[in-house]
Amino acid sequence: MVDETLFDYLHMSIVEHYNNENENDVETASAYLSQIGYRVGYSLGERLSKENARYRDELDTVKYLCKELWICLFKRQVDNLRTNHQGVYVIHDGRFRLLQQTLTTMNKPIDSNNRLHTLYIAYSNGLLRGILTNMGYPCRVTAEIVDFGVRFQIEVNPVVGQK
Amino acid sequence: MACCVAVLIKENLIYLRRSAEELKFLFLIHASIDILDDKVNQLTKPTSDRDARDFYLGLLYPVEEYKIYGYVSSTRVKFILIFEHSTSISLKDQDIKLLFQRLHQAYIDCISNPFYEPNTQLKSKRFEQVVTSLMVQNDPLTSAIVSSQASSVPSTSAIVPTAI
Repeated sequence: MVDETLFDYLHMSIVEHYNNENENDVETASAYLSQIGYRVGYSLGERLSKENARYRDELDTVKYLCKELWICLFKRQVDNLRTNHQGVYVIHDGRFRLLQQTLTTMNKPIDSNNRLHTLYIAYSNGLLRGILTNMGYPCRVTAEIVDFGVRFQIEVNPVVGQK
Repeated sequence: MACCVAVLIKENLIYLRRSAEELKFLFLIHASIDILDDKVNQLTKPTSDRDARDFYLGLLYPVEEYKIYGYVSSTRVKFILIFEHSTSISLKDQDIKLLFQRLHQAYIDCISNPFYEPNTQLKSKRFEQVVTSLMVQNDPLTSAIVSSQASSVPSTSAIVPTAI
C-alpha cells in the first residue's frame, strides 16, 4: 500500500512545516492544518458520497461517516460512537492511523498534555468538519488523544439551517 | 441533447449553459428549484420508499415546449437539465439518468481542483467539454460554441449575431 505511506509522509511533513513556520505557536498551526483538512473534506465528501445514495438525517450521516468513510480514510473501523441525541457525537478510534508513526518511535502513549502532539490530529479535525459541512451539517470538531487513540467530539450546530 | 444545463448550490447558480439567449430558461430554473426542494423533503421522510438511486428526481415539470429534469447529490448540489420536446421524444429515463451521472462525475472532478474556491463559478475546461457533449449537437448556435471553446465564458451572447 504505497499510497498510504506516501500520505503518512506528506502529513508528517506538513505538520512539521507549519510547526516550524509558526515558532511553536500551536494555535495558528492547528488552524492552518484544520483549514487544509476542511478543503480536502469538502471535496472528498462530494466524491465518496456519490456511490452511497440515500438521503439521511443527522444520525444516519454520522453513522455513514463512521462506518464507510472511516474505512476509506483511515483503513479501519471506528471503535465507539456515542451520542446524546442533541447534536453531540463522540467518536473513539483506538489506534488512529495518522498517529502510528509517532508511536513506533516513542513506544509509549502520547502525552496528551503536550500540545505539539495535537498538531497531528488538527488535519483530521478539519477533514471531518469538511465532510459533515458539505453534507449539510455545519459542525465543530474537537479532538483529544487518549492512550494510542483519538477521541473526536462533533457538535452539530442546530441553529444554522441545512439548505 | 439538452438545451440548457444548470448547476446550483443552495439557490446560487454556479454554472449555466444555454443554447439560446432566452430569459425563459432562467425563469424555468428558478421555478423548478421549488419543486426540487419539495421532492428532496419528501425523500428525507423515513416513511417514504427509497430506492437505490435516490439522486435522480425525474421529470420535474412539463412546460409547453420544454421538459425539465432534476438531480440532487448527497451534498445538496442540484443539477437541472432542460430538454425541448422535439429532440427528447426518444429519450428514456435511463438515458437521462446516465447523462446526469456523467454530469455529476464531471462536477466532482471540477471541484476536486484545489484551486477551486467553493461556491464560485465553475470554470473548468473539462467540465465545459462534458456539458458540450450533453447539449444540442445540430444546433448552429452550439456548433459555434464548440468551435470557440477557447473562452471559458458559458453565455452565448457573443455568438448570437452570427446566427441566422
